[in-house]
Amino acid sequence: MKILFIHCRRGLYQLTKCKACGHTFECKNCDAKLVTYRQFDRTLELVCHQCQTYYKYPNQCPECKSTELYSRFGGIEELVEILQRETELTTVRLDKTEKVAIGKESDIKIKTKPSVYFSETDVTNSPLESQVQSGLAPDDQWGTTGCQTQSDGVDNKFDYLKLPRNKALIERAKELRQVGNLSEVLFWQAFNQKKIFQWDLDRQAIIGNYIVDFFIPELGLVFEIDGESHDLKGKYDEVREKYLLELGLEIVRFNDKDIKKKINSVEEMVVSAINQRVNYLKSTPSRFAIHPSRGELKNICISDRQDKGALVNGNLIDDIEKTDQIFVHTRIFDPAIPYSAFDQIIFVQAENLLASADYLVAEEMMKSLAEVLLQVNEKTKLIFDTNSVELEMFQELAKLHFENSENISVYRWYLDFLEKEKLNRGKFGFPPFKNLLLLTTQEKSSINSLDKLKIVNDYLVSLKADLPEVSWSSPYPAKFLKRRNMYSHHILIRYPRQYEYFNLLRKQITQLGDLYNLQLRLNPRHLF
Amino acid sequence: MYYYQILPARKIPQVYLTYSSEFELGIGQLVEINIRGGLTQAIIIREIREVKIEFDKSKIKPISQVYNFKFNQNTLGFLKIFSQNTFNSINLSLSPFLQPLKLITQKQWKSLSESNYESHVLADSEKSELPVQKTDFLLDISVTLRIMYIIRSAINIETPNTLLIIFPEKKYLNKILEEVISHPEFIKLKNKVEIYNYAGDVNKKSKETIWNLINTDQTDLKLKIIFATRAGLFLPFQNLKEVVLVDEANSMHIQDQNSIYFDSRDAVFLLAKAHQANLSFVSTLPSIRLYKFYPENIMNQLRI
Repeated sequence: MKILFIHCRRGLYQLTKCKACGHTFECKNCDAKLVTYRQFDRTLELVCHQCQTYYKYPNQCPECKSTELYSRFGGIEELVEILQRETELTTVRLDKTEKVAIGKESDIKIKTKPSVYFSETDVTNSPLESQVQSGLAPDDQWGTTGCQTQSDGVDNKFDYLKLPRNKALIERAKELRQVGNLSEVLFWQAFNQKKIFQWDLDRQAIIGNYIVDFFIPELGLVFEIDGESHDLKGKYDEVREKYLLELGLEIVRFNDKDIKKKINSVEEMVVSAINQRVNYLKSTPSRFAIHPSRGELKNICISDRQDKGALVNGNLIDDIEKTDQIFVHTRIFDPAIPYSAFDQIIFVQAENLLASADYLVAEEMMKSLAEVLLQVNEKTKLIFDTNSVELEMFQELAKLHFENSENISVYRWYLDFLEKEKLNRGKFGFPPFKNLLLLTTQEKSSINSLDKLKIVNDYLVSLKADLPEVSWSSPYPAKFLKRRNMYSHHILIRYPRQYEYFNLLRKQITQLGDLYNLQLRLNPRHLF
Repeated sequence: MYYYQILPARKIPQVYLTYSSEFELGIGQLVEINIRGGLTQAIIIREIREVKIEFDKSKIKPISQVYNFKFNQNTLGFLKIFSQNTFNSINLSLSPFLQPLKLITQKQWKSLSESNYESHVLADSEKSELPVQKTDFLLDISVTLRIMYIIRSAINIETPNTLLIIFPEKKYLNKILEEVISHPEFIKLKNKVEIYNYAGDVNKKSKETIWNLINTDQTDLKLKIIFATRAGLFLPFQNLKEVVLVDEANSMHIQDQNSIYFDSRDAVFLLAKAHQANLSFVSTLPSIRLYKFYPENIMNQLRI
């Protein structure tokens, strides 16, 4: 079996944040969030996609100095890492391959050397482990919470990121760490420094509105040390324990005196509790377990990612034993790829296909999708992995499947889309109905940028009588207001395709462009 | 001394500049001039009679270098209507036209025969040219077969003929080119055609394409087929008779990042107009513009 995964997100993670204060890492030169990439030496770096500035992966938050950072919203690189780890098969990145030989199903060949991220010897050095060491959230694989992942020795981990956390308690937790009593310090020294188990141990960790003494996040295991203070809070502890248990956590309690006098027996109990917890997590369904899916009648399957987190959840890969090659790509349709050669094509996080607000995206996406549908053979199974099955696109795809999977059905489905899109474009006066001209400023100050366009706007108002049928927006900020240290605002002008007063419009606009140093883009790719 | 109005490929407030030359030069001649201490390529737009020069003639700088190449009337016409209809400055619009010529070596420039070129006057049209002419489009799951059909039709004309096929991206271009070359019908036509490929990058194939286009032999009746990406719109064509655009909805047809901005799906209308060439769109599935223009009778579906 040959499987193609399509995931339209670049990099390892799309977002890096501080767990303590919520600070998001952004580019210094642009209003853009930094994307995490893994370098060849396996260290992490942050990259700005707008200005291509590279940053070393931070050790701590610049705001609160916390070292608890996490990255989320996985991209193609993370997909490759997970597939390598889960399947132990070579994963070929088609987005980095220049030429693919077109042939029969059995002889698909990659002419250029594929970019393989982990050699066999590297597999023992779990990428997950290095993520943990580098401060990355190990189980936040697909950007949303609720994901269970596999790692060395343990099939599943507890998803601690979904735990509620009252940020108002951060300072209180810091204080408690500093003034810890003797038994807590002894416990901390005994287990944190020994690293007898591979798990991170958090001290005075916040869970909901409570602070627990010790916590192993990846196992959801809480250690509480009951001293005199606990004896006095009977009801409070009851409510607290109930709350923690409802979150799926396991609580192990030790007596203050035992820690001080019998640390060795405490150590044995800790190891035993960890092993029990690991076994318990192992017994919960793994991500390859059968997962409820929708619309799976013939060869199009809309897989409902109900847990909103798992990557290869449910039965996305039919039979891993029979799979001999896995390919990944960032594009929906690549003309150089022979789609009929694949047994399964999986669109990961398919709801992201429509994530952009640009008016060209829907047409490009639907046309690409239709091209793929026309090229695949009857046996190819197409799986749309999504947590938004209610989206019109998926509903239409499901209908297409129910009707007929012949080409004629694909054409009809695509022409139906064109009809709707034509109405939309006509309604909003987008190309090809009317021309759009985007005026963009590039200034060192945001105020200057906006002021310039206000003047342009006033001038256009004065021309209104001479330029009938021309309409324009008021100035609005660009999607990345600051880019390469320059600030941009836009005005969008709309005029008829065959315009009687085109010469006057052109002369006035080009004069304004020269005077105010504006970029003029006719029917641009992005309007924001 | 001769005086010329020059269009430099660099954004300047005046748009045109006046330079002098000891030799008589033609309209569209490629030259190199010195602006603010730097050398810039430029083209000659018109000759200025000495009596009409109102300022101090001694301040007029001489042209630094003259290349043995002139842009023809059609290309100059395309430059002008492209600049006007896409709101790009005419100075910056000249840059992509000069880009392919940078692949020509000094030795090749010297070997060029001047007799190949004639002087023309820059066309002066200021109308909005976005799609007005009737256009054919071909829909089929096999783009290769449609292109084969166009090639066969173009071969029948017994005059020097160039066919330009614009693709949204290099990968797609290479795939179709491979399929066309290995097509049995094409193998039969092999002696009647010459295939070139230009994706805007600097390599041996691009250099060969440019050299063959400007060093063309007018008696050679072989059909020149150029497989190109959007950069191919600005090649120095001599006998462009057919333009084909592979109309995928791919946004790679849009140039949005360099100093000039355009959508090659718009620009092909201007190119075909300037060269009076036939324009066809080829696609597996209709784009939204085909879907709109077809009922309006702007585009005809060509049934084979």
